[in-house]
This record gives sequence, structure tokens and C-alpha cells, in this order.
Amino acid sequence: MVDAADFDDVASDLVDGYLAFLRGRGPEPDLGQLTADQRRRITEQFAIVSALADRAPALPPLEQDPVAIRLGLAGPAAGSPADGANPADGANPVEAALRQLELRFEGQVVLDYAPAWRHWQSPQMSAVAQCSALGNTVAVFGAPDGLPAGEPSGVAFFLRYYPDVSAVCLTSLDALDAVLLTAADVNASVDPVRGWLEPGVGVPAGPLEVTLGRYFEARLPHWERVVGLGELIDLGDVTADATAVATSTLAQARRARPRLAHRRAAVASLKALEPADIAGLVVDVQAGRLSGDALLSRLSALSEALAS
Amino acid sequence: MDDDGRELAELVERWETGYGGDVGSLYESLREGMHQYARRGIQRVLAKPPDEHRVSDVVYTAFLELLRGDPAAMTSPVGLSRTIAYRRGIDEGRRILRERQRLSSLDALDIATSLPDRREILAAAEEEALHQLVASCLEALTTDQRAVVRATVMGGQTLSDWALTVGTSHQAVSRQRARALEALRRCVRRQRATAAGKPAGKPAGKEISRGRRS
Repeated sequence: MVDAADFDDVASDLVDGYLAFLRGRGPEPDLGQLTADQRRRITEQFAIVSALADRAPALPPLEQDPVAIRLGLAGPAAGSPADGANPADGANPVEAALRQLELRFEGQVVLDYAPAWRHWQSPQMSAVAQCSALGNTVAVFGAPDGLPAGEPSGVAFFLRYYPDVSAVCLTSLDALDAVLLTAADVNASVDPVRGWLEPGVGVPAGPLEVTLGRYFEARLPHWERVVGLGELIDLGDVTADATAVATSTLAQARRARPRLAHRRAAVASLKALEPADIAGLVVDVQAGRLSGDALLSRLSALSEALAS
Repeated sequence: MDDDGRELAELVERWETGYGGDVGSLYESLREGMHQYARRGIQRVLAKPPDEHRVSDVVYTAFLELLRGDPAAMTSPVGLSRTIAYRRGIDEGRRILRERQRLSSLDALDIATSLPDRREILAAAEEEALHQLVASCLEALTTDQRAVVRATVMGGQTLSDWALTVGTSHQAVSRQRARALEALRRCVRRQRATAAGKPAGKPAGKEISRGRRS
């Protein structure tokens, strides 16, 4: 039993515990040590906490609300709500969704409406655009007859024919249903529990912008998460540390004894790689001398040198 | 019922009888609660504050799902919108976990396919009604009390963070918050008793529910 004098302190701890519970960080607090009256009071406080929790950050005005913009309730497409969208109206929902994607990633995702594969013909797919960002390329196709139940056979063939394309996104013309298929998704696979699975099984459909957004969100680096960590950017000379880490990582990779021939060849090629080359890359990136395309070119040159 | 509550009730009634394209007003009325529940759903799985882009994705998907439903068959659109947002938030959290753990998405998102039950929808709707009462009671708190509630309950700051921010001790802000929550509790009881036509000192006929459980 908790004394009335101590109740304020206990109640504060219980509220902290309840907030942690709501946010997935702990179990629901145990109220067993309280009297019936105290339990009633704290239960009422919990209800208030639950009604208030996670209301922040405050939402922007409706005109700037990303969801309202996507729904066509605000922004340039206002007046053409998502559920009534029609490509013939002039405000093509697929193009509108792709423009929003471009805005969301602040230009990191580049749209190309005339990609090399634009003449690809398939009864189930009509070319729309290509979205690219940092080595990830998604070919977006419209599905005039609606999304197929499984994997359309043309996707696997398309991905083999254009190996530079990382994934294919099939969207309905109203942009409300889209699926994104990588090369892995369009081949039969083995699930430890369910055995062999047909291509395309388990790929969830969602609105076009959400589907593409999730794909690029998972692949693009999140620089903003470390931008405030000044101490990480200004570490001084990291050559010695980078060399030590590169040496141990390389040694670990070389110790692998794969059974597949192509993996054995990959491990063998690592013998020509010097830890100092990797350390040099790390130091150049850390010092801000190397980034973006230059970094990709240097990595590419390093890989080609190993392969030759 | 205050003006906001009456407007929402009228809007929901309009929607139930066919919203006639008034999607904008419907979204504007529901968006705050949907964002709250979407955040909560994602946090429930990830145990950390979610990226707001993810929250927007969840609310967008959940709102489209709500529009596809049959209004006449819904117990409470307010409760249902929040419940859908919460479930899609959990789905999103699980999806993020899978991405991080490099697991395939082969095992179906079971929670996404299950429909929320009536009890859950009504609890979410009741919480919205409670929030409207609490929002009016918040104005009656002192500035410091309101600030500590906004930072540590509505926002994600800990009591220690807030104590550092305002330059006082953890114990002082802890007691300040405890007093603020107790004041809110009494204010809500008074308002409920007044609405039920009972003297403020006696318990209201309807007890405050414990809120969301999962």
C-alpha cells in the first residue's frame, strides 16, 4: 500500500511507465500496490495521458500537410480528389504521385519520362517513367487492366533484358494500387516453413507514392540523422583507425570458404585488395574530399581493378 | 458538447449518409487523431519516435482505406479512422523491422488482414471525446504545468530532459506534472458530471475508461 504522502511520486513513476508502455518500451505498469481509490485516480490519469500522448509534433496547416497534398486536397492538384482521379482530366494521378516523390526526396530521386526502355511493349504493362537514385533504378509501368494477381511474366524477362534496372513498379492508373517487384520477387523462392513459393507471392500492394517512397527510403543514406553530430565529422586523422578496421574486415572476408564457384572466385579476388586502398577511401570521404558520383567512380575503379 | 465536437458530429453524420465529395472536411477533422494513432502504432513496434514521412505514409494509406469502407456499416468513423491508422502503423513498424533485419516480406502481415473489432473502435472514439475535454481543461493549467505536460506527455521528452531545459530538478518537474495531471483529472470529472447533470463533487455516471489496450 502506498501512503498518501508518497502518492505523487509513485503516480509520476507510474505515468512514466504508462508512457513507456504506450510507446512500446515496457510492460503495462502494475497497480497492485495501490489502494482502490488510488487505483481509480491513476487509471483516470492514464486515460488522459493516452488521449494526449503522441500528439506532437503539431501538424502543419492543411495547405502544407503532405497527406492532404497527396489526396489532392491541397497543393497544385487541389480539386481533384484521389478517389475521383482520372488520367483523362489532365491531372494524371501517376505523374502527380511521381512529382510528390521527387519533392519528398528533395531531388535525390530523378525522374526520366524518356528512358532507354520506353518502347518496351507488353499487353499488361505500359511504360510511364524511370525513377533513379544512387544506383537504384525503378522502371514504372502502368497496368491498364489492373494489377495482376501474381507476377506478370513480362517483368522477369524485362529485368533480365535491362540488368541496370533494379526493380519494376506496376501501378494502377489512379496510382492507388502499386506493387514493386525486384529480381528476387519475380523468381520462385523457398520459404523454410511453406516450401516453394510462386513468384510475386507476398508482395504487398499500396499507393504508388508510398510504395516507391518505402523503396527509396530504405536505400538512400540518411545523412540528416548524423548532420548534428559535429564530433563525428571532426575526428582529426582517422588513417590509423581506418586501416586497422579495413585490415580486420578484409582478413575476415578472406577466411571465408564458400562452396559455390563464383563466391570462391570473389574471395580469391580479394587477395589483390590492399587494406590501405580501403582506408584511403574512408579517409577521403571523412575529410569531405570524396562524395557522390566521384565516390561511386572510385569504388567502381577499385572493383574493376580487382576483377581484371 | 463544444463547437468543435458538434462540427465533427455533423460532419460524421454527413459522411455516413454519403459524404458527397467532402473528403477535405472529413480529412481535416480526422487528421490529428489519425496522425496520433499512426505514430503510436509505429512506436509500439520500433520503441522509438518514428520518421514523420513514415507517419504520413501510414495516414495516407489508412485514410484511403477508410474511404473505401461502407459508411453505413461503421460503428464510429472517428474510432475506425484511428483504429485503422494504429493498425497500419503497426504494419509499418513491422515492415521497417523486416527491412532492417533483411527479412523477406514473405510472411503476410497478419494484423493488416484482421478487422478491428467494435470494442476497439468504440474505445478509440471515446478517447477522441476525452481528448476534446482534456484540450479545454489544458487551458486552465498554469503556464509551467501546461509546458511540462506538452513536453513530456504530448511530446517525447523525458522528465530529466525537461528539468535540464527549464533549469530545475527532476523531482520538481515530476511533482509539477503529477499536480497537472491530477488537475486535468478533476477538471474532466467536473465537465462530465456537469454534462450528466450531476453535482460536480460526485462521481460521474460513466467512469473514464483505461484507454487503448492492445
